[in-house]
Order: sequence, then C-alpha cells, then structure tokens
Amino acid sequence: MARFLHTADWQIGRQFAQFPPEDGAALAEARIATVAALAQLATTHRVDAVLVAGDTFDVQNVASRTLRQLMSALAGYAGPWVVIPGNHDAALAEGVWARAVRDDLVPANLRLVTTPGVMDFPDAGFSVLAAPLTQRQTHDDLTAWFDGAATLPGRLRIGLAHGSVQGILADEVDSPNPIAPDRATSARLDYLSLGDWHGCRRIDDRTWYAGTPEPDRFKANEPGHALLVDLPHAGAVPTVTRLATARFTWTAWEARLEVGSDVDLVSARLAGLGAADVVSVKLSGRVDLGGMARLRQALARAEAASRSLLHDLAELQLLPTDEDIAALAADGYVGEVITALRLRQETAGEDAGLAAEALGLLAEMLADARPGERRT
Amino acid sequence: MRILRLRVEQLRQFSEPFELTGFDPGINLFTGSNEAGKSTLVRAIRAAFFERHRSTSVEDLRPWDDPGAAPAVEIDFEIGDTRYRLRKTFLRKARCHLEWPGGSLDGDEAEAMIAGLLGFELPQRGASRREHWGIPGLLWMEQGTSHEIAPAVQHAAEHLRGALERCVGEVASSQGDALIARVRDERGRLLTAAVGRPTGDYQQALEALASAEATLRQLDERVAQYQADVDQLAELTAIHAAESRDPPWEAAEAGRAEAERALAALATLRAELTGTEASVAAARLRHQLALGRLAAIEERRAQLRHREHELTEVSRRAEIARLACDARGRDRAEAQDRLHAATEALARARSAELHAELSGRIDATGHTLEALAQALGQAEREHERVLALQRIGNERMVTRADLDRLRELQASVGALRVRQEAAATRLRFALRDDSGVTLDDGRVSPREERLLSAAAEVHIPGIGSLHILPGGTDLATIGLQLAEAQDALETLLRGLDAASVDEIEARRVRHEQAAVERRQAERLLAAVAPEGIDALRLRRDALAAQQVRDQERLAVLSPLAEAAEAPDVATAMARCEALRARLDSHDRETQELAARLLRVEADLANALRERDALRDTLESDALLQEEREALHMRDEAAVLVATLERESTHRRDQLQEARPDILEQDLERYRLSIARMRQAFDELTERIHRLRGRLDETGAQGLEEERALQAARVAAATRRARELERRARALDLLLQLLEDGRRDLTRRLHAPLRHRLTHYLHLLFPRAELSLGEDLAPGRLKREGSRGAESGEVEDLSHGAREQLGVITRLAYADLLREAGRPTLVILDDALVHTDVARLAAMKRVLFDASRRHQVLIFTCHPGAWRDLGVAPQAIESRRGTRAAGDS
Repeated sequence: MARFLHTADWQIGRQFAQFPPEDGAALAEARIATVAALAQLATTHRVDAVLVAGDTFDVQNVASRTLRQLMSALAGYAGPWVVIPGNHDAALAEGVWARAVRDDLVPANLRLVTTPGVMDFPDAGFSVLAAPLTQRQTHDDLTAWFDGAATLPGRLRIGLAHGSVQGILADEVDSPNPIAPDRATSARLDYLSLGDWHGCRRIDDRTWYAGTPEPDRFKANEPGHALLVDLPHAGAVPTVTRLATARFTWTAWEARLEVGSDVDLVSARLAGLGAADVVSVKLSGRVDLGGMARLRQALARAEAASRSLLHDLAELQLLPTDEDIAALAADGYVGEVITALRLRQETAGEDAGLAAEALGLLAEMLADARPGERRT
Repeated sequence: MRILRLRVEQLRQFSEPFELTGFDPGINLFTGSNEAGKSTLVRAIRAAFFERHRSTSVEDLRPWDDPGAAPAVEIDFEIGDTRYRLRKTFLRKARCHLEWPGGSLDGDEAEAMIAGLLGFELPQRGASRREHWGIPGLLWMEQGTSHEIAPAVQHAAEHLRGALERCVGEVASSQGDALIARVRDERGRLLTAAVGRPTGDYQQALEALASAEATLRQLDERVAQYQADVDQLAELTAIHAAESRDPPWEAAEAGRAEAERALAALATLRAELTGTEASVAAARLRHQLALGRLAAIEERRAQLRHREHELTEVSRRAEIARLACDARGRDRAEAQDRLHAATEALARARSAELHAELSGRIDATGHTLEALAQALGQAEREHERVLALQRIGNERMVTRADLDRLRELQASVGALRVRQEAAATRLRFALRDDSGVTLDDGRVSPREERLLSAAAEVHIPGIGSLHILPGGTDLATIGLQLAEAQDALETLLRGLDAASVDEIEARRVRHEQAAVERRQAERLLAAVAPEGIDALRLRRDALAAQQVRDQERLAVLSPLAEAAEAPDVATAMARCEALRARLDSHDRETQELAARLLRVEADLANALRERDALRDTLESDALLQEEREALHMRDEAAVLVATLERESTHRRDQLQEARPDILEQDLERYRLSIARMRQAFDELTERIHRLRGRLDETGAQGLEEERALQAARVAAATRRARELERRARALDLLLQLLEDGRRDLTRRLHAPLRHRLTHYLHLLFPRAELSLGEDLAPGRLKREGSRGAESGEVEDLSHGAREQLGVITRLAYADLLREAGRPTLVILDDALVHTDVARLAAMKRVLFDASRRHQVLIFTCHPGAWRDLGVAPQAIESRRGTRAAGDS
C-alpha cells in the first residue's frame, strides 16, 4: 500500500510577457504559492512521497530569490519530495540545480535525482525508477533502462520521467524527449509518473501526466491539477484522483458580435469574471457606437474584477448606425468622412482595422464636441 | 434691402433736421464738396444700424456747438416686401424704435432684430467696431477703405459661408473646422506636422521599445553566452573526469622510463668503452716508452760514432794549425830584419835633409840680422831726437792772447816808466866807497843814480838821514800805476814761467820749430821701426838666438851628412812604412794562428775525453740489460694494444647502433609531452574553475528569469508602441480624409462666388482670373497684361487697382448674399478716387450692372466723374440746412 502525490511542470520563474507587468508578476508569484498549496495537500493526504516529474523551474537561471522562495514553499510537507530535472531545468554541468546544491539551498526533504537510477523507499514499500534529463534535449528514450532495472522483491515499481509519450500527444509538446507508450508494461511498472505535458492526462491505467498545478497558458487541456495515486499492492491498478490546485483559471474565448444583443451577452459573461480569472477575449464582427461604448465599459469593469484580462478587438468593426451619425450631428463633409470610413472598414486587411480605429476616434471626438456650439 | 428715406437731426453739421427721400432702387449718386455732409450721412446710416442707442461712445455725432443735443437718425428701409422704420436717438435721449407693418420693437430688442436682419453683431459695450460689422461692414465702403478687403471679408466670413452653403444647397460641416483642429492637434501629439515623423508619446514609446529590445538582445546574448558556458563546462568537466581517471601522460611516462633505462644501459657501455680506451692508451704509452728507450740507446751509439769521427777531424785540424804557426814565425823574423835596415836608411836620409836646410837658414838669418842692426841704430837715433824735441815741447806753452797781453803790459810799463822818470827826483850818488850810505836801508853803490818816485830815506852813517820827498804831483799816481802794471806783468810772466817777455817770445819760436822737427823724426822712426824699437830689438835677439841654435845643430849634423849617400826621405819613409805594415800583418797572423792552435788543441782534448766517457757507458752491462728489457716491453705492449683496440671498436659500434642521441631526444620528447599534458590538465582544471565561478556569478543574477521579465517589458512596450502607432495612423487617416473633404467642399462652395466675381472682373479685365482663398478673400490675379499673361497677389497691386478689385469683390459678395436671400445694400463713400478715367468708365459699367440687383449709394465730391452713371446726382450741399421734402 503506497500513496503519493504526482505533480510536474511547476515552471517556477516563468514570466508572462503577454500581460501587463504587474499582472505578470502576480501570475509568476502564484506559481510558488501553488507549490505551498501542494505541500499542504501532501500533508493533508498523508502521502508517502511527492513525485515531481521535471520542469520544476522554467529556466536554468532563476534569481536566487526565486530559488529560495520555492525551497521555502516546500517546507509545508515533511517529505520526501522526489524530484527529477526536466528539459527546462535539466541537470547540466551548471544550472539551477547545480547552483541550488552548491549554495546548499536544497532542503533535506528533497531527493533530487540527477543521475538515472533506482531509489528505494523501504518504509513506503516502493522503488522509484528515475529518468532525469541531463541535457535540454535528447532523442533517446531515457526510460528504456527501466525495462531491465531490478528492484527488491515486493517493492512497487514507480517510474518517474519527463518527456513526450510517442504517438499519443500532439506535436505541441515542447520537448522531443521521447518516451515509449508502453513503458509501464514493458518495465513492469506499477505506475509511471510523467511530466512535460501541461495538461492533466491519462495515457493508460498506469501512465499519467499530472500536468502543471498552476496554468500558464490559455490552453484548455485541464491544467491545474496534481494526482493523488493510491497503489494498494504490486500489480494492482492504481487509483488516481485529480486534485485541483490552480489558483487562477485561464480562459480564452472568442465571440462574434453581429447584433446589438450580442454585446449584452458578452457583457454578461465579462461581468461573471472574478479575481481568479485570467482571461483572453477576442471579439470580431461589428458593433455600433452605443454597443462599442457598452462593450468598453464591460471590458473595463472585467479588467478591474479579474486577475488579468487581455482583449483583442482588432477584428471588430465599428459601424455607426444612421442614428449614431445623426446623434453625432456629423453634417457636411464630416458625415462624408464617416461614410468613407464605414466603407473602408468593409475591405479586408489592415486598412479595415485602421478605418475602424479612425472611425472610433472620430466618433469619440464628435461625441466630445456635441455639447458645444451648434449652428442652424 | 432698400433705403427709402433718411432723416437726421442734431447730428454734426446737421443741427437742423435734414431729410433725404426718393431713393432709387438702383444707383443713388450724392454729390457735394468737402465737408458738405456726405460722410456725415454715411456715418448717420452706420450709427443707426451699428451703434447701440445707449452707447456713450458716439460723441462724434453731436453738433459742435450743442452739448445738449440729442443726435437722431431715422431710416425707412425695405427688406423683401417688408417696410421698416428705424428711429434712433443717441446721447441725451437715447432711444431706439423699430416698426414695421406687423409690429414694432424698442430698445435692445429692436437693435438685436436689426442685427439679425442685416447680418452683423452688436457690441456688448462701447462703440461698434469693425469686427462687429459683418455684412454691412463688407458692403458699406468707408472713405479710403475700399481697397482693404481681407479684414472685412474675415468679419463677414460666417455670413458669406452661410450664403454660399445656401446657394450650393450644401452644408459645410458644422463641426468641421473644430474637428480638423482637434484631429490635427491629436495627430501633432504623435506625429510631426511636416513629415509625419513620430514625436511626443509615440516617439517615446518607440524609443522605449528600442531600448527595451536592445536590453533584451543583450540579455539574450548573455543567456546564450551562459548556455554556451554551461555546455562548455559540461564538455570540459567530462574531459577532466576522463583525464583524471586515465591520465593521458601515463603512456608518455612509460615511454620516458623505457628511454631512461636504455640510456642507463648505454651509459654503462660508454663507461666500459672509456675504460677500454684508457687501457689502449696506457698500452700504447708503454709501447712508445719501450720504443723511446731503444731509440735513446741507439741515439747514444750514434753519438759515439759521431764523436770518434769528430775526434779524427779535430786531430787533423790541430796538425794543420801547428804547421801554419811555424811557417808564419819564420816569415815574421825576415820581415823584422828588413824593417830594421829600412829604418836606418830613413834616419840617414833625414839627417842629410836637415843639414841642407839648416845651412840655408843660417845664411838667411845672417842677412836679416845685419839689416835689423842698421834699422835699430837708425831708430835709436831718431828716438833720441824725438825725446829731445819732446822736452822742448814740455815747456810752458804761450798762447797768442797771452803774448798780446804781455806786449801790451810791457808797453804800458815802459810808458809809465818814462813818465815816472820824467817826474821823479833824481838822486845821484857820488860817494866814497865806504861811506856806508844807505837808501831806505839799502846799500847804495858809490856811483849811482836813483830816481825817486816816492819818499825815501837816505841814511848816512854818522851823519844822519836824509828824507827825500819827490815833489811831482802825479808822481805818486804814476808810481802806483806803474807798480800795478809791473805787478800785472810780473804776475803774468810768473804764470808763464818766464822772466821776461822776450823769453816768452823766444820760447814760442822754439816750440814751433821743435814741433816740426819732432814730427819729422817720428815719421822716420815709424818707417824704420813700425812696431816700435823694442819689437825690433826682440826680433833681432830672437833671430840671433836661432842663429846660434842652428849653428849648433849644423855642427852636430855635419859629420853624419857627410857619411853616406843619403837616399830620398820620402822613398825611405814609404819603404819603411810598407815593411812595418807587413810586419804587423805577420804579427797578427801569427797570433791568430797561435790562438787557433790553442783552441784546436783544447777541442781535441775535449773530444778525446767525451769519446772515452761515451764509449765507457755504451759498453757497460747495465745498458745492455736495459736494451734487452726495452725490447721485451715493446713487443708485449704491441700485442696488448691490438687486443684492446679490437675490444674498443666493438663497443663503439654497439654504442653507435643504440643511437643515444635519438634516445635523448625521446626522453626530451616524453618529458615535454608529459609536462604539456599535465599543464593542459592543470589549465583545464583552472578553466573549469573559472567557468564555474563565472556561471555561479551569472546564475545568481537570475539571468534567464530577468530575460523573461525583459521579454515581458518588450511585449508591453511593443503593445504600447503598436497602440500609439495605430492611433497615429488612424489620426493621420482621419486628418487626411477630413482635409480632403473640406477642400472638396470649399471648392464646391466657392463656385458660385467665383462665378459672380468673374462676371464683374471681366468688365474690368477681360479674360482675367481672380482666385479665392480659403477665407474667401481674393488671392491671386491672373490677367492679360501689356507683356502677356501676368499674375500676382492682389495685395501687391497698386492702390487704384486694389480699390477697383475691392469694389468688384464686394459686389460679387453682394450678389452671393442676395442669392442667399440676405439683405444687401452697397454704399461707396468717396470710393475709387485713385481710379483713372478709363478704369472708372469700366467701374461705372460694373456699378451700373450691380445696381440692377442692389441699391447702391454713391457719395462723391467729384460729380463730374460720375456724370454718365445714368442717374441724376443729388447735391447734399444745396440741401443743407433746408428741410427737404423729397425729390431734387
């Protein structure tokens, strides 16, 4: 009977360029907070070990402060934390792990595995077959040796690796480090803990990607989990439980606005966003002046309410209605300009966007000028 | 708009009410001389419309002499079909009233309505100014302002635009200009006006982006460097580990050990070879020693042979020397004899020769002595004479002066004596011989006469004394003079060592004679004995002595000379010398031979002794023994040398084959290789150390994390720059569209105005074109000039031309306004005064044409110029002060 927590791809030190700097900083800090939460989960579930399947760090060269913060976050669980380096934090001659070891920052409860080998946990009754990455990229299956690796009789065999299961995952994995899809079977593993794929994913009964515990991109592949694995005895099918760990929910949505009520729908959805939301909204279609004003208001409100909101209105046309134009009192050639811009918006390409922008500006200025003097 | 009636009262020079009626709908020409009141009427019209009735700034309307006046204007006018009556009173009774068939208004309301009707503004306070005047300001041309168009147009612009829009049936955008200004302003914040280069926030954003990107690039480079360093470290560490495990210099060290062993073996071999070579040398030395000894023995034998040979030779030489010595002794004795004989012969010859010589000399000397004796005798005599004559010469010498003095003194004495005698007392004595009579104690001869020149006493013994005193008076004087003269004479004589003058005379003659004689004698003496008598004497004595000696020697020689025949001395002497030389030669030779003999004999003795000693040694047993031993040693050593040399050659060959030089090189090569490999290893270690240090340092900086942050900054900067770029481009587009629209509109709007303008312009300048500016003011004029087509700014034309164009333009505006339904009234107050006759004719056509559509009021002080305008001029002056009732 063994119980452990399977996690991976913490990507500590990751920065989020697409967000305004203050949002990016908050998202980066959240990743460490999530690790502290993981420690808490491990303690709560009284696991025998936490297996971290690589990519603890996003880069080899994180700031010392970040390194220390992460190590402190591990204190919430007595251990052991069994950690292998992934492609981002590979055990190179010099790198984040080498530095952590040298600077004596690795806590005693962290078992860092930088050379392939079997690590025995007699008290817990299992052995960990660890395949750390010692290069950024490799084209060999680093888990191949699992097949022939001996473990003490009666010990559960648990694989710990980082890479891309061949033929199953799409080509979006960020590493070519291959792993045979039937490794668990061929190496008689009771469980194979994988890292690299940021979504939580089951490959087979015994092979799982835990995914990143804190989402770091707008990809709906169910990130934000850790796996609680129960192994009643050798050969038994493990019981794998998903534990939600994410502090922030990353959502990307697109909407096409055609009629006035579409704006209301989008506004309603934006209104539903909370502090845990990281959202990317892309709007296309067309909207009149009033709709645009409401939309902007809704976006501004959502920006304030959510952790972070990115919006892309480049493909949204501003189409003032006749009423709009009348309301703007755009007589004479100004009216003609509005018409020209509306026409221009219809054309494809960058010009359309430019025309939309110009139209928006014009509308804004006219609206500003409206309370001013008028002449009969 | 048409003015129908104008009435003024208490207004400037019109202190009395003045009214104009019967206005024509077209042209109305008002004439009058200066100050007739034309301009006052124009001012009245303006005041009625423009000035607020409560304005206090209209003091100029008040008549000069009437401070309490209330200037009033009343105008009846017609707009469209509506007739209005406007009555305004200023200053004291400020009032305004407007009435028309449908109603009436008072005060401000009336004024506002008028302003709206005519298209001008009322001043909030104070006098109405140009900017308030609007359309009337444009169409009512004040004296001397008709050429200034632009300001008037500017103040009427809005009305004109409205009119244009109405004509064209289009609206200029109500917000257009403000919008364009706003867009331009907004654009100006991001792009430069001229070339659209980024500026302000946009430029800053671009710069920030560029800077952020540059930083990112730097970080990228550093990250790349860091990663390259990490890779290198891995590589170096791997090499280091491999080399630590299996040091590459070990093989080289084995090679070095092998080479060292080989070299050690070679060293042994070389030592052996050295030993052998030393033995060879020793054996050779022994061999040579033996040979040396044998050679020495042989040498001594040769010496013996040589000595014996030498001995023989010396003996032979001694014999020869002895024989030579004897022969030479005999020769010498003979030579000595012959010399002796020759010497005797020489002595004889010499004696004979001396004899002859002495005989000759004795004879010669005899003659000489005789001559000398004669000369000497003569000389002695002459000498005596000279001496005698010298004695005479030694007496006291008398000069001719002395002599003359003497003679003079003598003569003086004689003379004095004569005188004395003559004067003296003669005393003659005749005494006995023994009388004893004395005179002055002097004896007196018995017969004597005395002349007494002085007192004298004659003593007669026994008788007494007689004192005789001469009686002459001068006797005493003469006596004295005589005594003096005698004294002088005697003194002189004494000085001359003479007793008398005669003596002196004689002496003198003698002297002269002796001197002559002495010179003769001296000459004679000198001839006989030039060197003196003594020399002569000495010579005689010497010769006499020689004579004696010669005679003695001759006496000795005589027997010898007579003894034998005397050979010639020279011959004898030569022979003698020759013989002596030969003897000397013989002597020397003899001595030499004797010495040689002695030496040879000594040599002989030596040779004999040495030969004997040598022979004794050579024949000794010891030497023979030594010789035997040396022979043995020689043979033995020769064998040993041969053996050892074979051995040495063998070893040398061995040494040569082993190539010790190459082995040394091997050793050096291995040593260098090891050092180099060790050094390389150390360097590798050091490099790893340094690399680690650098990586450690860089790692602590969180370079990649920083890089990611910087990427985020770049992204933010990019977003900002993009936003601004989009905004800038949108503004640019907007501005362009708006300006295009406006320009297009302006073009359309200007069309009717340009049409009206051209209508009038062609009356003045056929085929000319006048462009309109944005502000509707005339811009450039293009026309057919005297030198072909020409164009220029209206502002640059002459005053007259500008005046004409000003009127034309205003008429065109009036047409436009009329078409737009605005009231128009054209007033020209002394306009076109700078216009020449020809142009004025054209302008008259223009004005006449305009008067078909507008009421035109022309005020002028040149009625003649406007005579052919087709209307009757109304003279203002003639009506002044009169209450006109209507028509002229």
